[in-house]
Amino acid sequence: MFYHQLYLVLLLVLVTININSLALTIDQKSNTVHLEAPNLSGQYHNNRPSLPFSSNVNKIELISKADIINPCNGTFMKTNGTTCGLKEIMLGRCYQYQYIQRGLYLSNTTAVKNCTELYELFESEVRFKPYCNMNMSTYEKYFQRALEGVHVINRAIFWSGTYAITHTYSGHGHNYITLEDTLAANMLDGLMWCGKENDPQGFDYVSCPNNCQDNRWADLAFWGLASKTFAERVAGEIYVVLNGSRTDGRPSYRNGSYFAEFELPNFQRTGPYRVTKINILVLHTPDLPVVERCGDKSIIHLEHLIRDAQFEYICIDDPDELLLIMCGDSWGARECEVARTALRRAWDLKVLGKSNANYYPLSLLLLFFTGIFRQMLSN
Amino acid sequence: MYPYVLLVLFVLLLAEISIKNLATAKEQNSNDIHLEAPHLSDRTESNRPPIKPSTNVPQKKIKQKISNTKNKINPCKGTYVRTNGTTCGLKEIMIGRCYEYQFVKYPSATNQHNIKNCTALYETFESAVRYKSHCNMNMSTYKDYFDLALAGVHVINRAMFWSGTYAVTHAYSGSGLNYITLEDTLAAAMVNGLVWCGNENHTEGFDFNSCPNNCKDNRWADLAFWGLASKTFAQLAAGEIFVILNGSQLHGRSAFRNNSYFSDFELPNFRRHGEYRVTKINALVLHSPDEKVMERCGEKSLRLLEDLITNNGFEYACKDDPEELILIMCGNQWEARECQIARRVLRQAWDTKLYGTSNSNQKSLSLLMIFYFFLIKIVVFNNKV
Repeated sequence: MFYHQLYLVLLLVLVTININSLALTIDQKSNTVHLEAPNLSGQYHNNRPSLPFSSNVNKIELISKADIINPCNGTFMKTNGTTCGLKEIMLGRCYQYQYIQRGLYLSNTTAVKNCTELYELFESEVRFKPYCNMNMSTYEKYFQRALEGVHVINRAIFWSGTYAITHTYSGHGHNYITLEDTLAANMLDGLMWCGKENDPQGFDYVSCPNNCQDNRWADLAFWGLASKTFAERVAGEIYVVLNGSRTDGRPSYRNGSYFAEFELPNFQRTGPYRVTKINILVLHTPDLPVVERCGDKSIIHLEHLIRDAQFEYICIDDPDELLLIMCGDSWGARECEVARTALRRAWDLKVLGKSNANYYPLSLLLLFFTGIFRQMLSN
Repeated sequence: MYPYVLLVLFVLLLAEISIKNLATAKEQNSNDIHLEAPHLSDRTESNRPPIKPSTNVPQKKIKQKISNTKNKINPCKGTYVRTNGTTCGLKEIMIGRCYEYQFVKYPSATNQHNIKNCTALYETFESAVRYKSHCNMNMSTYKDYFDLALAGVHVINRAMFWSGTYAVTHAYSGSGLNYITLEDTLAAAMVNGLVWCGNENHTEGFDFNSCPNNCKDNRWADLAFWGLASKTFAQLAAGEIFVILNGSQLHGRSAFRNNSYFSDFELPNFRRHGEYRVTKINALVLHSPDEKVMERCGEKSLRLLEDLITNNGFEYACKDDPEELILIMCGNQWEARECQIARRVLRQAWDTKLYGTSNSNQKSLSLLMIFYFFLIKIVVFNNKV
């Protein structure tokens, strides 16, 4: 009789547990909240002119601007001309960089560079001047002043074909410093500009040519010199993030990239501020095939170049730290599915005390039935 | 004789496979590259003044040091000096951000109907603040500025609010790409992270040395900007809105509490009627990795929130830790316990992608086991014979 009562109690307990966990399961599932996938790197866009391949240049039509309204006053239209408010934006960024983003200040002094002076150094090289006359020394004074005293030691990160994810990872200078995190480049990052001789403003707001047929250096005048100057100022260990899943048939490391033309050749090899080691990180995008890995094709070529220049070399594919970011950008990707489930389970365990599975009551149920059988057998 | 030869061959084969696996495993592990953990959130905290509870008890009079600005160096000239006063270059920064917002960040949203004159906008802001005493400000001080900056704006089905979850919310909203937070509107973007306070006696009209944040007679002074900003933004939100709450708050705070901007200025100001009304409020409750779970959907203050919301005629839904946000939480706390398995899983997924097999010894382990069975069988067989 006693055993029967015990069994009844046990039965009731099991039933309650089962109902409870069933209820919880239903609750979590019927959450009809539709949420957007995260998009960690979405805010980063690289709008530098890509290095033009030599010759076979398209003839650019220089549109007659006389009749077009200045798109910055009143009737605004998005054009591929000079950014409206170029001066104001540059000045604002200069103040912001020096007074707010202090952690980023990469030189050893507390001196503050005069923002108006910096802007004028920049402007004097560009305004009222024909765009296609620019060359690799056009912006020298600007960079010299803006990067004065700057040394980036053990924190510089470079990129080729991986603009967005590199910048998400570097975190605006929090983790690493990209060129775009220096004052000189920060002031112009994402902006567009080109000078024009006979415009009242001195800038062309309607259209900026990006292919000067006689002078390929005109397009590279700013970002080429920026890359070179930045590369000259990095020291110690540096990092390079390459794309091992390129879909355009280009190699991960290629001539004709800013990294190959302006950065790698300009790393300091001697002196107290020299580069000692180059860490290559090769990333493979989720859902895309693996085209090159460490030790493949163009990356071997890069390795030779680096070792010949007497730098230490190491290469790693898809470091853990970047996997999360890649999945943050490709939320639905196949490679990320299991991780998502793993995270879900970890949090269910954390929040609900158990994952939404019925195994505890199941095992109790089993015990109960074994008990019954034993009873039946003994009877 | 034969079985022994076979066995030896088998052992050699297994040994080779095992060594190979070990070798590849070792290579990946001996990566002596030190890499920083990711930090997905730019800024971890908002620098708004916290709302202090209003009490009828006379506050302990803190002797306000009215900085004698005449004798202080202007911290905005030459060398950098850290102060908690008005940000140097306030005007240039605000105007620059205004142009940047309209012409660089969201150029396709800017057209002749909604384009705003940045200088006019700055001057509207300035006229409310400059040469005026900070502690005289009140909830209508910045009205003209917000009316101008937020004219014609409606955020439909994409407005996101937050309380105690600044970092994750903004990493998720993606600077307005996914969702729009207050900080993604022009009005707030122009000043986000900046400090300012007017000063009647200063030549510049601003106090660059020190900004009070405790006006003893007027608690509204500190809330003048962000309080009105929150209120105005809440009034512009329509359709479904999202609010991200912290279910792991420390020091006994609730996920939803009085004296938060959300409860004081936002929730009470959601539109209930008309074309641009709020229809549904989705609460997302986050529990930080490595922290205790204090409240979940349906519990304590979240129950209270639910009642408030449904009583006001809005639909309500609540979800604990949506996956989309778990990823971001782990992105900010790379070493956390709850994130370890996912990290390992991601590593395995990529190793499979790169090398075709995961770098585990599973296959050779099972072969090893088969081998031992054979061995035992043979030994037994031999003994029998």
